[in-house]
Amino acid sequence: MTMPIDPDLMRDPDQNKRRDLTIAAAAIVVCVVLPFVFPNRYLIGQGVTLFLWVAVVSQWNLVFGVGGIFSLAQLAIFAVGGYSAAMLALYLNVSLWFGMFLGGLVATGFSLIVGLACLRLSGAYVALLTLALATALQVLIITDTTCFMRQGVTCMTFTGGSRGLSRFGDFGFTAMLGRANAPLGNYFLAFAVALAAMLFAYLVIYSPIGLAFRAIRDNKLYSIGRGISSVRFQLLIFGASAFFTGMAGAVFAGHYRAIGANILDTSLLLFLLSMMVIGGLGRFWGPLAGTTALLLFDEAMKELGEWRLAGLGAILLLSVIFMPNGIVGLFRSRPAAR
Amino acid sequence: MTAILECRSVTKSFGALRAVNDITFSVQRNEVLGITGPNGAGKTTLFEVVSGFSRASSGTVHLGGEDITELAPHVICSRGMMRVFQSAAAFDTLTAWQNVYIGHAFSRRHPPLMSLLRITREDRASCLEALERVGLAHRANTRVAELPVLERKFLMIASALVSNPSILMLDEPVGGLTQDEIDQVFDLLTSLRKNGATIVVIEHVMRFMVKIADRVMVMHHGEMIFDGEPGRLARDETVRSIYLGEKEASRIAGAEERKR
Ligand SMILES: Nc1ncnc2c1ncn2[C@@H]1O[C@H](COP(=O)(O)OP(=O)(O)O)[C@@H](O)[C@H]1O
Ligand SMILES: [Mg+2]
Repeated sequence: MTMPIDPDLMRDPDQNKRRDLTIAAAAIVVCVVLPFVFPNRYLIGQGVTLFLWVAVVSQWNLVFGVGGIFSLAQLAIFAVGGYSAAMLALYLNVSLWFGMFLGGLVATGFSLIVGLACLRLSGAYVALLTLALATALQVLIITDTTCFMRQGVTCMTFTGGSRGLSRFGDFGFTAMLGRANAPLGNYFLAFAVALAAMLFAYLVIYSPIGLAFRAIRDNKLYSIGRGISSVRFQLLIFGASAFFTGMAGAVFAGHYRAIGANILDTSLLLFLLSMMVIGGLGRFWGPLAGTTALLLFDEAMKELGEWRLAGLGAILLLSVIFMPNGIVGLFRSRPAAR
Repeated sequence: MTAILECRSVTKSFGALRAVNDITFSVQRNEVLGITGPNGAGKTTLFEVVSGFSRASSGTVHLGGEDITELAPHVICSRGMMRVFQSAAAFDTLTAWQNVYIGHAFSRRHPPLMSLLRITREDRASCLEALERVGLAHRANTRVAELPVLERKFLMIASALVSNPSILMLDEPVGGLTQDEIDQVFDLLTSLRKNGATIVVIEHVMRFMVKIADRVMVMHHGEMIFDGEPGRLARDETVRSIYLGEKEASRIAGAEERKR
């Protein structure tokens, strides 16, 4: 009585290649066309921000949403990538283009260490430890006052201290494209990083490795009982989610021609966390949806001055209550499985 | 002939409590060994130690001649021992075939690198075949959170079978099931055994146990108080007085009579 099934028809219910391709094509067209239709400096700058946060949140989602590991180290990883590229440029004259990849690699190494430190912890303890790590990193940078290099009469510290690092140059788009078009260079670079990060996330989520991450999240003991090495995969998750995050940090530094310890502020971390949650945890389109929604909302709330934070809190509260599976969850045909 | 599984003087202590106390036994190829005994006797703890989830306080465990006493549980999987847990464990957000796929892809001893990056048609076919063996092929695309308990239990067995384990360890596979469901599990295990499977099964339900097992071990307070054919079980004085009680014993004896 069981009907024969073709193995080709066995699929992932979350994955719909045609839908994904359509959305991706539409989004790419919009992002490519928009800066030419509205060649507005402010808009292009906001576009860079959007792309960088999409890159970071899409990788964070691999750890937090797909892997179910409550790490809050993602901005620390971003900062390590950005600072590495900036310092390499400043002290060793390494081009930011090359430094961008090195930043990604250093960030990966840093993330692996974070993953190692979290191996024996679970749940809220991972959140606590990683938050402590991020805070410690910020404090270390801010309290760094040892003279490393003289710049005229002032004294530069190794990490730039509380003033941050600057004067390490940028990606050189002014020389390449002219002063007027230079912002477009940053725009498309950030776009490329976001695109690569999302493509990477897509491949991971729907690969056997992604299935293993989800299996560990669903039931760790059972996953071990089916041969999954939780140590190996936890390190894999931390390593894999760091490269594009670190790269985004380097693009951030090049775009602003500066980087400071304020990117480790808890308020920014919570902002990105909200993007991930509101978009839809563990879902491929969640980071893009959440980041876009929150940046648009933030834009609309600009008028409200200090009420902006309250508004953000309210939106977070409402969306958690009314969209427990995030924006992406609203478009799911089946009943929510989580 | 070497035994598939061989435990020598396995002991597991929790503080002063000896949950498993000096247990020695072996399981031969294509044998079905039943383990029974009252709640808290140490049966699950014995499984935990044998499968590497918990370290033995003393004693050794050999699987296919290899000493696995110190190996990690996921490594022991790759050596061919698959456990089916007491609770109906599953990966709830995955579909039935994806649940099976986990057992298929990650329990291999030397998985080719490509197998970590791509799910092939052959992989899917293997998963489907394992689902067919437990009668769940029609559920392949169903998310497991939506499956009833019995199907979750079958699914857990399928995700163990897919790797062709050399020994299958089942912890109370029919606990909490109705008589009809128990019969379904019985039929499945019987067909596995016909195909040469080696099974260790913990079970409270004695009628099921005597029918399925070639040999039965009874544990009590961490110790083995009986090891022999199921037919002798009801006649054994110690087992009668400690575990079965007169009524159950005569019921089992009756079932044995009818079997002949
Ligand atoms: N992790 C543990 N820590 C302390 N005691 C335990 C632990 N696991 C099991 N026990 C104890 O060991 C004994 C045997 O338990 P268990 O193996 O689950 O029995 P069974 O499966 O035969 O019902 C029980 O007394 C139980 O309370
Ligand atoms: Mg038990």
